[in-house]
Amino acid sequence: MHPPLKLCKDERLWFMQALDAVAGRDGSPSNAWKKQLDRLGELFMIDESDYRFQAGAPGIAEKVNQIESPKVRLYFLRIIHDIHLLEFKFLFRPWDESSLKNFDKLYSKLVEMIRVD
Amino acid sequence: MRRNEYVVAARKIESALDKHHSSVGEITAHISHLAQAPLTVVVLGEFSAGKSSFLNRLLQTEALPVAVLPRTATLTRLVYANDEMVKPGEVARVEIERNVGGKAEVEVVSHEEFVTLQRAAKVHDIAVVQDLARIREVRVFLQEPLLSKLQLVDTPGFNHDQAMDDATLSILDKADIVFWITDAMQPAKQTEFEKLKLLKERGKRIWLIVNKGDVNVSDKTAWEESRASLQAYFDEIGFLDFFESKTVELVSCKEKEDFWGENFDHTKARLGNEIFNLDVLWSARLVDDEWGRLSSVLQDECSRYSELQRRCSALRESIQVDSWGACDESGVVDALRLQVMKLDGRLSQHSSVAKEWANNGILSMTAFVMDYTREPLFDAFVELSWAYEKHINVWRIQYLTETIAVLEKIYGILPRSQDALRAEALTLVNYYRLLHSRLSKKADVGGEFSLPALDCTSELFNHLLVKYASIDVPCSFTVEQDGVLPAGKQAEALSSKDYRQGRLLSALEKDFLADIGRFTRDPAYLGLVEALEELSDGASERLTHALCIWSEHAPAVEAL
Repeated sequence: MHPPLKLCKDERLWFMQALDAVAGRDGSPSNAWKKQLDRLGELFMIDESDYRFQAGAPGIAEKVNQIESPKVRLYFLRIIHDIHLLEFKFLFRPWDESSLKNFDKLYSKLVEMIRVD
Repeated sequence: MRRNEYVVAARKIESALDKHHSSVGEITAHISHLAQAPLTVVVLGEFSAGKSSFLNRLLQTEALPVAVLPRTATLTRLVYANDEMVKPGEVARVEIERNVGGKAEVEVVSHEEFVTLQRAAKVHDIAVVQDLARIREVRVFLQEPLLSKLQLVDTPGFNHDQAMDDATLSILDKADIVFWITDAMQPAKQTEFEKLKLLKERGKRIWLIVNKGDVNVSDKTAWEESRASLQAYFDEIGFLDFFESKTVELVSCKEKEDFWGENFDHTKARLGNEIFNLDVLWSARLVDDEWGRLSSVLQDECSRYSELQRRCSALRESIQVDSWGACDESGVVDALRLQVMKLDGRLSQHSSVAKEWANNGILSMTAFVMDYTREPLFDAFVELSWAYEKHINVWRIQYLTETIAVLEKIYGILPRSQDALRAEALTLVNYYRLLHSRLSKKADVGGEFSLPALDCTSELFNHLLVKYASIDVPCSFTVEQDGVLPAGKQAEALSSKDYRQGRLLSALEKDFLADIGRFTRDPAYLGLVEALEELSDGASERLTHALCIWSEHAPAVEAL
């Protein structure tokens, strides 16, 4: 049985801050993002006011790259990818492609900047 | 004649046993030898007790070299030279049998050449020493009427070095009668007791000659005193129990003056009356002796091999993992039930978390949370692994204890002729003892064993619960446990809890069987068991048949 993922208090905060920054890339996060942030904040026992964070790709990557476990860093990329898919599924409007384009740009940069091995 | 009947029956027994039992083969071969060849009288004793001097004096010859360097000494057989050209007491020829590349090569030399060879042996020449080391036996052909009835064999003697002991012991199977020469100045040593016990175990008839009686003894009165004193001493320490002659023959083989000459002649006459002139009678008696001994050796072999077969079955049974599993299955499950229940509880808790998060529909998020929250589950698994390891350690120590006991018994039962097998058994016993001691010391050390089946099972549950969060419903997996149901009987649906626990327990049993299988299927152990089975295979039938043959020719009770 493989051992559990271990994240220290700081790592949990960095993880949440990075997620928050991705969620708020276009201003205020959508409901899909908010819901996940709330639940994960509850699991990590971190208050919303503590993980508020605004940054571009370099700032997000810096936070994530401080987390020791590459598996957690990989999870981060998968999680933002999957939440965005869900978000896109419910909020997609054919006439507004900016949300899609913004995420794709950010995601491509993060994939380049976050170390996963 | 009864004796001929024994010889024929001994051959039948030999053929029935098909060379499988060397201890019996030695006796049957000896019976044939007694019936065909002249009596073989072997002179034994410690090195330098005066064996060669005794034979020279007995035969009134100088045929045998005296005081040869110990390393050159070999078996020397005195054989009758049926040659009218040779004067009485003279050596006709000497045959030297050498071991050349595993084959026997015989060289015939004159007595003078033989003497020269003996002289050369006293010189520290490496080539000569190497040549002498190859000599197996020397046969001295002597014109002496006594030798027409029997053969006399001079031996290197005991207690000088192992090679000489081995050379001397090699003649024992063919020795019919033994003269034991002891030194009057150092008589009846402990080492002599050991060798005499060995001779008695082989049923030898032995006569005692005490040589070097002349040391510190000048006349007949002193000799009488010395002899009486030795007689009392030998009686006290039980030395005479080994011998046919209960009186002490105190002689000097070196001194030939009047008193010592008469004294030796008296001993010679006595030996003549008791042995040399009764060679035919002795042959018959010895055949009877050997025939009697054959029965007890056959019975010993029967018990030995039936015991061996019993022990082999015990060893074979210990390899049958299924039988161990059947005995211990409930043991491992009972011992670790609490830990399994705990693991199951943690799995259940973890699945609740999984279900809660799976509602999101974000698989990666659920998987991440599952990985992050699995610590209690992991702890329960580690706790179970440690408890399992302790349990299997206890099992392994018990298994080793039982196996060592059986192997030790087998080592004791195995005939001495099975050197290689005995060595193999002993090595394995020593290795298992070491293992036992190491395992006993490391009762609390963990991490050596894994639980792959259990590991896979709990991982599988984890996976199922993440992917199909709604799986916690009555299962349709009962077919594995129900088998074929009787007509009309309804199968009981298991709750997922029962199913989970059942699967965990069966995975634990599977791991347990795999581990004990690994321990018990040690190739060295398996090889030994197979070799032992091969050895004992058919022994019972062979020996019973041989005992039947013996019984058909059993002597009357009074004769025994």
